[in-house]
Amino acid sequence: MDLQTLNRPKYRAWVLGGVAAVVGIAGIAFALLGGGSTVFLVGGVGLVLIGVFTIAMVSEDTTPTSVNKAQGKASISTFLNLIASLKLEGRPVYLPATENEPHVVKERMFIPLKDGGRKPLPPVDDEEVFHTGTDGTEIGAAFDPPGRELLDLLEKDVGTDTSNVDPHQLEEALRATVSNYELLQDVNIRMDSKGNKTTSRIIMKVGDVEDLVEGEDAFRFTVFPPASLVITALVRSTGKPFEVRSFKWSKSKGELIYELVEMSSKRLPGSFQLNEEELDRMSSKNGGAKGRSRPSKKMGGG
Amino acid sequence: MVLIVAGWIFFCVIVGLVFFENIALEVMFILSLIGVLVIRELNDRLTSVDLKQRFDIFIYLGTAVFIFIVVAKVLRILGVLG
Repeated sequence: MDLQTLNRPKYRAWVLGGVAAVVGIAGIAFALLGGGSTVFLVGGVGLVLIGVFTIAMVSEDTTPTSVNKAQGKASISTFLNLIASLKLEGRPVYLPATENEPHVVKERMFIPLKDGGRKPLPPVDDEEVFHTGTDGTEIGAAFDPPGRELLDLLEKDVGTDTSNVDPHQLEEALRATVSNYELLQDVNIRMDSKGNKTTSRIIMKVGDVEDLVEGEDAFRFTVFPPASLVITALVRSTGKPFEVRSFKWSKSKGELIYELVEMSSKRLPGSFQLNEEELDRMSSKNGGAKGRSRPSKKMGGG
Repeated sequence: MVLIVAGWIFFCVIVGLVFFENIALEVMFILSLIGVLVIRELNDRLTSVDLKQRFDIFIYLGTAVFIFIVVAKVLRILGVLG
């Protein structure tokens, strides 16, 4: 064990706690055996308590920040390379899980090839990645959101279930956790409901992430894990699909702002269900679907 | 959190020694336990389940010591202990 290893929080706590406990025991022994005053007895007991507490509480293994950053950077850049290679340019859509279908139990992030407005999205289940769409028009790829595993970990660690959190209480539920785990400095989630559509504005204080993120694409495609975590939490809490409509990254402020809009279609067994209004609009845009039959209400068929 | 608890215990030692010299140990224990309970409650949403479980061990031990102190005090008042 070299000096650098000893400098890690876990071992540092052991050394400091051990020294405090030993000095404390010496103080107690001196007070009891040597006839020392109460100061030694009470002080000794206090030191033993502090020492044992320090050792017990700081016992998790830690890795240096630089190692974590390198790992994070590698995964972000791999994700971005994949998106660039597939020439995906659309806005990411976060899809909720559903309790009713065994193949749709996890949130997914679908990135269309191009922004296609409100076209029907292809069937997306937990395993599928590449999508040719229902009629070849809505091509894209679906991935596990980069922040989902992180959210699962936080839920398990803190003992909460985001799916049971009221969307309007989500900010309160997330704020302390993300800042405590040093994922974000702060997060602000504003929900707004107009008619049957929910929009959300998420403001994240991410601080200095220059070591982790190069360029804005990591934010555009929500590949930056903490940003993806917050959006996944929103989708999990509301149970509705959200499209990342726009984003704004302010490097000087270290602030990231997302505008999300609820997709009116709902993720169903391997498909999206569209409402009548959307079907009519699509039908008129396609000029009567150009000889194709009007898309069925349940796209993709699962 | 460790620093807060350590600081609190140190504070309890000082309070015990300065204001309650005869019963400094008991006062220190009880004040420490109260502080640990308050810190545990305030940090409930911020700490992991694992950390909470480790924290709880101290609370159980502290509660046992507290019961011992109370019983000893009662017995002393009743004259059972000298």
